[in-house]
Amino acid sequence: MSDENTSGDEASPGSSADVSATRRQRFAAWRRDRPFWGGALTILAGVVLWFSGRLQIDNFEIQLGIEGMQSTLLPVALVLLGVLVMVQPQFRVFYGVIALAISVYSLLGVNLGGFGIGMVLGVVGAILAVSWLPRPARADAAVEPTSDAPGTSAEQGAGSTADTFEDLLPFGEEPAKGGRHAAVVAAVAVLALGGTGATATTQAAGAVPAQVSAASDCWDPLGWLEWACGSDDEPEATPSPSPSATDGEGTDTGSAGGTDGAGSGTVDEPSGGSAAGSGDDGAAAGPAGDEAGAAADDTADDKADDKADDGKEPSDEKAEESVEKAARLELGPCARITFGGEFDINVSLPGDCGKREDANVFSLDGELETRDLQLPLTGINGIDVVNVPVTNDGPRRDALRLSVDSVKVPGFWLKTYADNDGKLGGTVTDADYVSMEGNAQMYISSIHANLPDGDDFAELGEKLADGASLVEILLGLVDARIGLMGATSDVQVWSDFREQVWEE
Amino acid sequence: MKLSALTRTRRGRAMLAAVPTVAVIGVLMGGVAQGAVPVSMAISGQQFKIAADSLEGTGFSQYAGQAKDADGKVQPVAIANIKDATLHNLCQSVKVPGMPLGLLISAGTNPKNPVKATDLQIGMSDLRGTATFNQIRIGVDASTVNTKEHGSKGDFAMDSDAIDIQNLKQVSSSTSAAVFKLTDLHLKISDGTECF
Repeated sequence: MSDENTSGDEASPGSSADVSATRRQRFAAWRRDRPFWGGALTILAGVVLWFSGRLQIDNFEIQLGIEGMQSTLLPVALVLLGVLVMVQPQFRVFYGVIALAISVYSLLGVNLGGFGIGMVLGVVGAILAVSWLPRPARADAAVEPTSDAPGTSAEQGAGSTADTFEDLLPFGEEPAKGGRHAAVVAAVAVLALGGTGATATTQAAGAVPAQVSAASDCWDPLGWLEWACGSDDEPEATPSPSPSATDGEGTDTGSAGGTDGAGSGTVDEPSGGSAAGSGDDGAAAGPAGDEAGAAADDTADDKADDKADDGKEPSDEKAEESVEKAARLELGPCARITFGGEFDINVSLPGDCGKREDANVFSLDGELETRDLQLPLTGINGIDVVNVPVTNDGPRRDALRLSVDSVKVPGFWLKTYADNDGKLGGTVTDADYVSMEGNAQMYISSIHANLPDGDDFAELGEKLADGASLVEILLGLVDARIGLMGATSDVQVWSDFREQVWEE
Repeated sequence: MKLSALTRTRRGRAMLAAVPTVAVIGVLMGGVAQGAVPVSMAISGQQFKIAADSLEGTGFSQYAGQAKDADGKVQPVAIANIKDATLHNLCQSVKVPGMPLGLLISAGTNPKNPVKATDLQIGMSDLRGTATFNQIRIGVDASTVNTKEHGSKGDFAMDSDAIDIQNLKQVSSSTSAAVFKLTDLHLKISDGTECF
């Protein structure tokens, strides 16, 4: 800014009117001709206010919305007024008073006036600008330019009452104004506004989230939904945390839809339990074999046994059949039961055949794990399959709807998913317990449960034969993982919870 | 006559501008500290901590969003909106990284005079407490939540008519409120001490 106004300096009859004056001297002369410090402090106030909302010098960002507009517009206005009051000193009262008003308002509008600092700078700067007076006319100098604001001519004679305050603002004469000033002002204004606008645009562009591309066909973050997704034999889609061969086999057969005995191989408990259970004659022989296996304390042997015994477990086969039958009875034809994979029993709802319900639009499933789902004595009011609108993976899908009066979920753990511009993210919440009361509905897309050992299969079959609810049993199982589409209730308590954001 | 005498000198003009300004600021500051005059806040760009004995609010929603962190990197946050919030014993702290310097704001220490905020939006990365929700919906699509602000389609979101969080402890990267009534406001430069 120092060299944009040399013409004014040359016109000034001050100390060194020499054209050969140094840059520094010319700047000093230029500075004397305008409320320089008032303008500078006002600009500084704008800068301080701007960063008070951002708290980080190297991080520009524009906030959208009403609040964001204030914290963006007011600082920009102060900077512009500071520049204007320097470039057009004749309008200093006008600019100064506006800067004063903005500075005072910033206390309410912009983070308590930039935590006090910005407001004080702005007020001091604006007062300096308003109170600035041009240097009184000298005998050898021309009279005050007529372009000066009306009323100021009266003060010309009063320059003698110099005080410390005025020392801060060296006297100066009004420089001759030209079209050049207007051009500078316009350029600065355009630059400032253009800069802001550009940043805003970038921000807006960045804020627009990418479409949920991850969810193109079947969105399956963990890879344990392969049956629901209808994926066939992709080996990488098969989740096998333990790289044992039995796991892989089990999943493949499971997803092929067959329940022809192969499922038994998928019981991936490391203990000899499954091996024992499979020892041709079921339960009676089971425990003995189990203990023997455990005593041998040789997992390799157990695994070998597992493999050897694959595909010939008549009791489990029967149990599976009864489980399937019970599920069909309980949930209708929409639900699909598979055995194997990382989990022993998987309930999924791949179809599109439930009763339509449009109250809520659901999104990506969350994963819910509980220590021990406690259903009240009264049990579940209703379990049915509903067809609800979703925003990913098709316009609608089936969900298992559980209606209960109240339910308590101890050891609550919920992981949710969102698409952060192509990166997968979301929140993980854990809580001592979560309780839902009053018209509680849970919308479940899948249930995956581990049976602690092979015997439970047969036991489960028996329970179901006695009329127990499969869903209720599965939800109550330790280690059950529930694909939670949503949950609604009149009252919900999250006790001692912690919610944290995660991103891949 | 007297006015013209004042306007003749720089000192007089400065007085003319300063006296009413200082008076207005004094009145406003008093009003702000009593919670009578609401202020607007919009802070982002660095992590800060918020703690409160309790937060009661209506019109709540939460979904995934983004904020820039100190390095200018885009950070995932959970964006929580609360239409009307009442906070008891609010503490808010910012620490300048690597220096024993920070800003500590406390307000609403008087139980009868809590802090009130309208159109509160918080971008947070960590939230703790014990919460009670009324008419809650978990899992709804972020574009269909019941608040004015909403998230992007396809994201997991939740909303509720009312929310009550006891022992709120929160790490946030951005907060803004159109109307913030900060009663018993104390704002001080700290040695980096934080709320928790």
